[in-house]
Amino acid sequence: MDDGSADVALIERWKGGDQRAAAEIVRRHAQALARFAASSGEREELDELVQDTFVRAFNSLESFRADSTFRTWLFTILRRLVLDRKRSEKRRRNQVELDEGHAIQAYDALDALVADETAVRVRQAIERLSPLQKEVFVLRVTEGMAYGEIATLVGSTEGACRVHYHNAMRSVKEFLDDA
Amino acid sequence: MMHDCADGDMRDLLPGYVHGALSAAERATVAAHLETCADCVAEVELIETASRAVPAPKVNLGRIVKALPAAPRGARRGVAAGRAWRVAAAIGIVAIGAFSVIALRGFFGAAPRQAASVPAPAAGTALATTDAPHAPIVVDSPVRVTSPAVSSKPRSGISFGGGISDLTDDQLNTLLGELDALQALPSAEPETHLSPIVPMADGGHNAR
Repeated sequence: MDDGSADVALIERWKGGDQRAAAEIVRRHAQALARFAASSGEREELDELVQDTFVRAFNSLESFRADSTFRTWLFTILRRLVLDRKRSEKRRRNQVELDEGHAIQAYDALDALVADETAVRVRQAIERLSPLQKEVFVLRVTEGMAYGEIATLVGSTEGACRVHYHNAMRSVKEFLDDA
Repeated sequence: MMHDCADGDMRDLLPGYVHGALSAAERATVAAHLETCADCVAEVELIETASRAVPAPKVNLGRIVKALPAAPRGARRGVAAGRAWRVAAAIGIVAIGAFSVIALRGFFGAAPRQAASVPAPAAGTALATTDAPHAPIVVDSPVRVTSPAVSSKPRSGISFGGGISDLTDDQLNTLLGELDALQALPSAEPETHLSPIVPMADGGHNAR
C-alpha cells in the first residue's frame, strides 16, 4: 500500500468512527508540515499552524475528492494558512514583506538544529532562492514530491515547477561553489 | 565545482531515489546510472544534505490530535442513540396515555356495549369472564344477566350486560360503590398509577 492509499484507508477508518486513525494521520504528516511551514519563514506558533491545518482538513474531509493526494491537500491548506498569516502580519506591521536579509536573520534561529556546516551552507543557499523556487525545491528535496503534486500545491504547472526546481538546484550549487 | 548531468530526466528521478519513492525498475535504472555519473552522485549527496538542512521543528502531536473533531460516525451514533431514547420515551408516554383512555372509556363510555364480569354480591361469587366476543355475560347465581343488544364492535374494557333493572338491590349497591371508586377522569398527563390491564380472551383489554 502506497502512502496515498494508506491515507485514504485511514480517512475511511476515521469516517467509520475510529479516532485512532486520525492520530495516525497526524503522526504521518505533522512533522513534514511543520518543516514546510518553517521553511516558508514561519517561526512562531508552528504547533498552532499545523494544528489549524489538521482541524480544517478534518472539518472538511467530506469535500476531499482525492483529486490530489491527502498529503498534497494538507500542504495546500497549510500553505494558505501561512500566506494568510503573512498577509495579516504585513497589515499589522504596515510594512512590506520581509526582505531577504530579514528572512536570513530569522532563519538563523534554526542553525542550532542543523548539525553539520555543509548543511548550514545549503540552508543559507536555500534562503536565497525566490519564494516560489524555495517552495518547489524544499518540497522536492525534503518530501520527494513529484512535480505534479507540487504544481497542485502551489497553483502552477508541472513544467513550471520543473524549471523552478532545476533553477533552484543550479543556484544552490553556485552558492556552495562560491562559499 | 559542481556540474549538472546532461540527462535531465535522470536528474528528475534523483529526489524520488533519495526518498524511496521510485518503482523498482526506476530505482534500478538510477542505481545503474550512479555507477558511472559523478555529477548525479554529487547531486544525490546534495539532496540528502538539503533534506537535513531544512529541519522539522518538533510539534506536539498529542495536542493536535486532541484538537481534532470527533470521528463523524461515532458522533452520529451518539446523536442517533439520543434520538432513539427520545422517540422511545415519547412512544411510551403516548402508549400509557392511550391505555389510560381505553381503560377509562371501558369503564364509562363503552360500558353499556361491553361485557365483562362483575361480582355477584348476593352470592359472593365472581362473574365469569366472557370467552367470546359477543357472548352474553353470565353471572353466577342468584342473578343471571344477559346482554340482549351487544355491539358488533370488538369489545374492550369492563362492561356488564343487561338492564340495571335486572340487578338486585345488593348488586346495584355494589356496582354503584365501585363506580364511586372510579372518579378519575382522563388527564392530559399520563397516569402514573393505573389499574392493571388484563388481556381479554377476545383480544381486547380489561382493566380491573
